[in-house]
Amino acid sequence: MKVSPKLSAVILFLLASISGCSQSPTSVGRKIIPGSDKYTVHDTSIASISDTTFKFSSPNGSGGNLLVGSYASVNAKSLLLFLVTMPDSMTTVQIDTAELILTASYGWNVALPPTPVQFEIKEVLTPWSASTATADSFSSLNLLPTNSSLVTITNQDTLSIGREVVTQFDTSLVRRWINIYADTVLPRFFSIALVTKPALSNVGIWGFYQFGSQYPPALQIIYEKNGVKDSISLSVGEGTFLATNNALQPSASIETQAGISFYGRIKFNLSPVSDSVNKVIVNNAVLQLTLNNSQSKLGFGSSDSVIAYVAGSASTQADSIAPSYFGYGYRKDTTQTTNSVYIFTLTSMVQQWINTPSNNFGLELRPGNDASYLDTHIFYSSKDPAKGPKLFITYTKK
Amino acid sequence: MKTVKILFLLTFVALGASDHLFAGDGSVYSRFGVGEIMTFYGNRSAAMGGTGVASLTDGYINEANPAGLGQLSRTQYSGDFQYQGYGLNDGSGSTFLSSGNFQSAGLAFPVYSDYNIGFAFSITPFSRRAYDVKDDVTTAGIVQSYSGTGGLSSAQFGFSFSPAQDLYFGVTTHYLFGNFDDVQQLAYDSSGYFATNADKNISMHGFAFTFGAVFAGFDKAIGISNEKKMNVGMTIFSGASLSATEQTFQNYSTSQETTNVYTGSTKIPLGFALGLEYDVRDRTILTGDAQFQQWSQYSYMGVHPAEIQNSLRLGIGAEFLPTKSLAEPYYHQVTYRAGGYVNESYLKLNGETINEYFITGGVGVPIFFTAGSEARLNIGLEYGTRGATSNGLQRDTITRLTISLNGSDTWFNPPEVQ
Repeated sequence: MKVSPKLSAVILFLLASISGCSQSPTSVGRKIIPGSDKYTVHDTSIASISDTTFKFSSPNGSGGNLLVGSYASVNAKSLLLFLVTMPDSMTTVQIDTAELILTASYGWNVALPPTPVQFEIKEVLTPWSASTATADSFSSLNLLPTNSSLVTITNQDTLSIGREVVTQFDTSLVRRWINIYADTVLPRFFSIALVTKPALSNVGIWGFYQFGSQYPPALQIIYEKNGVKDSISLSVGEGTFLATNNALQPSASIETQAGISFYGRIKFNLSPVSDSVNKVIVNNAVLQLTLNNSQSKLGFGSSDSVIAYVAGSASTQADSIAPSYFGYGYRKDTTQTTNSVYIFTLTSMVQQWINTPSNNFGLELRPGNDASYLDTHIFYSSKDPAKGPKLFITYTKK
Repeated sequence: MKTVKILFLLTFVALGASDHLFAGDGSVYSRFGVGEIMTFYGNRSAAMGGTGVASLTDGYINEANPAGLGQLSRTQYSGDFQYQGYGLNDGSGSTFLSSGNFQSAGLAFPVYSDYNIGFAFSITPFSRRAYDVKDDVTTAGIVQSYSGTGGLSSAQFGFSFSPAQDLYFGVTTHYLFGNFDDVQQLAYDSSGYFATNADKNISMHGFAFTFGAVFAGFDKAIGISNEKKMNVGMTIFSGASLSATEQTFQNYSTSQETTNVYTGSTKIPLGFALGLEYDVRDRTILTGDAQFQQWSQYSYMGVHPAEIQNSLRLGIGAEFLPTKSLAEPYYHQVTYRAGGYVNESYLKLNGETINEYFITGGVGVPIFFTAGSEARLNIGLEYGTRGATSNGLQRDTITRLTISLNGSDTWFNPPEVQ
């Protein structure tokens, strides 16, 4: 006796057919799940308990701009170091002209027309490195005058990002650099500084593209050898800027200022949310800060950006932040001109505070592009119950 | 034999693929205790109302009672695939979920015919957890979902012997093992919200025993018949203390953490079963079983869940084989089975016992017969309901289709003593 192949086929077909009959799961059965097994959702808002603003020394060499100028209590100077490669034959050439070419990239508190701005080009004798130089790292900076023209820019120049500013450069300094380069013993340190002309103040802070960017600073040298004119452009190097601000804002505010490294620290007490036994699950946490628009100042050519990092220790040291938890802040309503609200999504940061309450040192508020601009954000502090920092938390627990 | 090999191949392909083809869909009732208790003693038993405590089988592996192995004459093998369809209705909505699983496999063989010594190895489900509920009704903008998979399996070794004529004893050693995986999630419609998600995993393992006895010819022994038509049987399930480990993997936006790690035991309670079988003119077999298990003594990590209570299952069955003659037409050699059972399950929710009412049926289709071997394709169907829509509960309308290959051969048979 043999089984029919047809019967086998029918059985397998039956198996295959019934396998596709299942529907997607639905809410049927939800009432049977015990209430104690279900998650409950909670929404709460928590006001900050304290805040502070502090200054940190941070190098700006990694930034995208070289800033120079002054405004109120803020002063900035740029340092440029040319990493030169020149043929030995340059020692015998006649230098006709040298030009420093800078390209505008940023402006902060720049004066309205028709005020012209002039910067001096000085030779830097003090050794420095873009990766470490800060405004606080030099007890004195040895700068020598040069015979260069003043870097002169008008508002028409600077208000147009990408506009070139060309300045006659001291050819005797170039000649000296060529000779130093040809000498294998002397140190090759070809650095200049851009500083505000002493007689000028409140001209604003001006930014130029950094080395390594699409429009790097360039030293264009035109020379003649054997009756033939030629040129060489030095556009490789490193740069930074040194900025200072002699005044912190009043204590009733939380301030961040790029370039100077003014940071804010805000603390929240999460004990009303946190359960010491069963940790709640944070589904969403939003920090809300309210900007004091009249005291804050953004430049042009920069992005309106503030970042909240989780603070890694009670110390207000830059290296204490844990960069794994952070959130960018953005304006909730970009058309609002007073009391603009900034929103930061900090879900993981708040969860981290709940998971380890002993490590809740608050958050550190930093400028989005700390090493490139001088933008200032001034937020209302915890002392202002209406406009002070608030955390809006949505969490679940059983 | 070539056909058998092909069938084996197809069967195992189907079984192997089944876990992937079907999600772990079933009833939310399986969320409680150790899941849905699977009373599966083989396809034949399933088609006969889950009975078989008093059956002395030759041609099938009786997993209901190890003493029932005593009349095996040849090596038996079996493999079972089961499809389960669940129509779920809670009074406000309904859905249909289904799943398919490799169900059971067994091998049994006689060892010493003078004392009817037989051995059996098998793996069969003890319990099953499979549910999937998505609650998008209770809170707008939030979906809470609950799903569970897993269950306990029994890898078991049975042994039977007969110390005296018509009296059979047996014992089965069960190694109960398995995992339960319950996943719970809360998700938001809004983007940017981290979904709460936790995965509770429980593993259990341990040994248990079933002691069984069958007395054949009980009717003659008590003087109500001149022939031995009636068997009585009983089993005692020892219960077990299973080592249990529970851990929950809780997802946070920062990390996944293993929380709530517990080790302890799961106490599976004692159970009893009584069975009766009556042979009507060598063509029809009538069976009846009653099973009781003291689930009120169940505990998990030292705690007895309030929703778990004692269970009582009553089943009846019948099998009709028109002829055992190979000369008869094919359909006369098909075995027909029917039965039913009621089960006062071990679950009591919202003050109501979750009862089950099932009718069962099936056929055993001969595949081949030779002098040394035979095989049947058995198809069993169970249809019934569980629970009710009142009192916040749900009614499950359950269809179980079991397709099995059962056969026997002379493998391992000891040579007959001249």
